[in-house]
Amino acid sequence: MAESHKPTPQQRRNALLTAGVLAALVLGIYGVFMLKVFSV
Amino acid sequence: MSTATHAHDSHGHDHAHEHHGPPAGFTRWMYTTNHKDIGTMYLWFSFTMFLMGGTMALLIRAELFQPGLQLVEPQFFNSLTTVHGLVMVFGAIMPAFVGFANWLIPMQVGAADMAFPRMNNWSFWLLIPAALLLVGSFFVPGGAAASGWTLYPPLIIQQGMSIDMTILAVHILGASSIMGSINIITTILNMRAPGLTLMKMPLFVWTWLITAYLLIAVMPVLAGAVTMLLTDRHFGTSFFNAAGGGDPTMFLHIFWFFGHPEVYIMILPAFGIVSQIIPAFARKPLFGYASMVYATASIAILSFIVWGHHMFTVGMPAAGNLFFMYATMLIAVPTGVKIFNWIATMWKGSMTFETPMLFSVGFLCLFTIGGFSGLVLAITPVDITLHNTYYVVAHFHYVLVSGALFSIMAGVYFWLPKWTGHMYNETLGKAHFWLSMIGFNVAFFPQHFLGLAGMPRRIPDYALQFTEWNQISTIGAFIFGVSQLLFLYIVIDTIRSSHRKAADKQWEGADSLEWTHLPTPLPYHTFETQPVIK
Repeated sequence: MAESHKPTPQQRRNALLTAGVLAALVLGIYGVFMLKVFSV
Repeated sequence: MSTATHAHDSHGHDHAHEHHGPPAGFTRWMYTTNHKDIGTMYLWFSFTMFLMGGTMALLIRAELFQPGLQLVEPQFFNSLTTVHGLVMVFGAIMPAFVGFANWLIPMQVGAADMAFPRMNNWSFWLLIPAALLLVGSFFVPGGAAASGWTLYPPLIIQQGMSIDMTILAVHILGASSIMGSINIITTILNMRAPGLTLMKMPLFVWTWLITAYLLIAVMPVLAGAVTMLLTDRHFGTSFFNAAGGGDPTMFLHIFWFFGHPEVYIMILPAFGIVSQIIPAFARKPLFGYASMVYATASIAILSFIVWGHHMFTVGMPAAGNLFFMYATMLIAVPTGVKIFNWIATMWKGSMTFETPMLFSVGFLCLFTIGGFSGLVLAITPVDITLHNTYYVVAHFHYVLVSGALFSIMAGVYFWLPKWTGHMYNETLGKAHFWLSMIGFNVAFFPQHFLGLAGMPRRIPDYALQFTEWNQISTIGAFIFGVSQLLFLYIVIDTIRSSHRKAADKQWEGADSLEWTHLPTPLPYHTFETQPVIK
């Protein structure tokens, strides 16, 4: 059984960047929400 | 739609000298990073949860066959309705669509696998402890959560440790969904084959891209809401506890800010599946591809500003009620665009009605009924009358069963030949469709009448005048439930029926990369070289 092609270094870099931005977005929404309600 | 320039990949050749198949046994599934394996596990997990949630539904319907208390205690009945909802939403429908995403997105965008295969494995395996917590909560003192799947305070604050288990399960499921969404967005945005521009992607990929953004936006909000519930229960806060100066209504606002987009999280991938199946069996390209993409995005954006229609009766100002009423009605416009486009795709097509197409047409007819009853409920004064009645139960089952679930069935029949290499039994598939169609409508259409007559939801007992429609509804539910065992048999039979070989392109009208560019059955690793799309 043959291996699949591998993502290019450029694709890997872009993937990490995209995932980082999305993870920051998730943590940001949750963090701001929690900070807001627990700081009242 | 896109076409690949490569001839078929060389997967059919003998590559014994570079063998790299899956490991055998349990370790294959435990440690797998292969998107097909993980997709398979998601689909089996969701089907298992579907059977569990379905069993709860049948217990509910059995209790409601007659007025009075027959089989279960009222507290247990409330636990059944609660866990049935949670299991079906978070355990059955959502993981099923993630299973489809895992199987199809890498192949449809010409990628080797998901962008983060290990995270993909974690996303799946997180589901198991969450499911055990949810279902296991039946066996702790006090019984499972009985507040309804919406987890409303003050009930949710007052019950026993099962609530903590449910809250933890929701947190874990949310984490799994977020990781899955990050993976899907990253794969679609970064791993597409050269030449496969966004506007050439199959509709299924588009709908999942938009769904994943919805998940990213609302799952942290749900996590926040259940964190606040947890601190109300154990850490002395009173966010939602009126006795401590809190406001239970605030929970409704936060929950439904998550909850309404969640409805679209469960239906947009269904739109994607149907948008691939109808053109294949009409043997015509999808009518209005660009408008389908824009309609999907419009629905997703509008889903953030309509949450108030779930809570018209809490005493919002009239201006608020009017805003949510009109905003909700606005969603009918892009949804109507989609319905029109599916019908226009079928118009003058060379149609055949194999099982996937039957389920898709069933979806189209019944989801439209669910959409129309949604419009009825969007009208504030009408909703005030129908709120918490069986009309609402009928409405959302028309959306989620004949909408989401029928599309999942359609998708399984459509891609099963590609996944397994074997063709399913068409006669049995059609029998499954007709039994489901009849059983579903017999079960849920009478619930409109019950709701209009004033029967409240979430009660184990009811007034005598509701008896006949409840009996009919229960009979329909059992027909529908038992017919899903036929579905299980068909799937197992297909996997084992090596004499019914499926063709590389089993459906002549199918045009996405997995049909045009890959052999049947699919090799364990796809795309030795990345295809180029023109």
